[in-house]
Amino acid sequence: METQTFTLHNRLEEIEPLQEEIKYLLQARGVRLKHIHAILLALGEWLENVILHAYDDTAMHQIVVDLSADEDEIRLSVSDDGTDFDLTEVATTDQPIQPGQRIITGQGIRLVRNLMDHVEHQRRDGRNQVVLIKQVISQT
Amino acid sequence: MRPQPIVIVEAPPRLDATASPIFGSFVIGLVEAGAHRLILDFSAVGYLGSSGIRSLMLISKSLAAHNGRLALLGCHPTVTEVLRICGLNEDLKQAEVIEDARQCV
Repeated sequence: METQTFTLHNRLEEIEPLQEEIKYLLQARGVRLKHIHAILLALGEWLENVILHAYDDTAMHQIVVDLSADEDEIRLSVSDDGTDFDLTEVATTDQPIQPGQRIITGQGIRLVRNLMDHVEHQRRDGRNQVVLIKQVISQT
Repeated sequence: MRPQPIVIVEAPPRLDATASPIFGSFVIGLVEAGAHRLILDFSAVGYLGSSGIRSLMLISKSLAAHNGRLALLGCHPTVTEVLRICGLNEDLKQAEVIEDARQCV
């Protein structure tokens, strides 16, 4: 599968249409529904985190999602120009979050880590890039 | 003394960062207004994110403050899996049919 690139803005209402589009593509590849659900939920969690916590202004920002797949692996790469963060620093849900403070809340990252097989973060050229990988077994 | 009535609230299909705070505030409003035997009908919920989990925790906390009881009705396997990952599977009572949910609250 060629890499498919999607662009969205830092608006929560743009997440669901993107998930629907990716769901359609994964269904067409014969990916099992339980894997599709896991991938879409992990992606949604990550995008919500970016949109709610990565920016300290109200300007429009672009978030880029790359989707690629081979026989047994689905790979999502999410790139944003928000503030840097440390994936190993996990906050509890009770901690107050300041505007512009990039916090990965406990339940969100717990979900992403449990739903996906590999989660990796890099800071490159002023952008965050997170790679989410899921091992899958197709129905076909 | 008559037993308190059971209140059943239907949850929306998607409990994400947009819908969850609204749903959570609505249900907590009901709890504060006296709905202390609460069944949340989750049969339509196909997407439960961490925002939804946070709302459930807040609802549960609010009910606990009033010695209330909560049950989730008709959770799909994907929802049960999210509850399990977040460590809430044991804490939140779940029922497949309304009769069992009524017994839980």
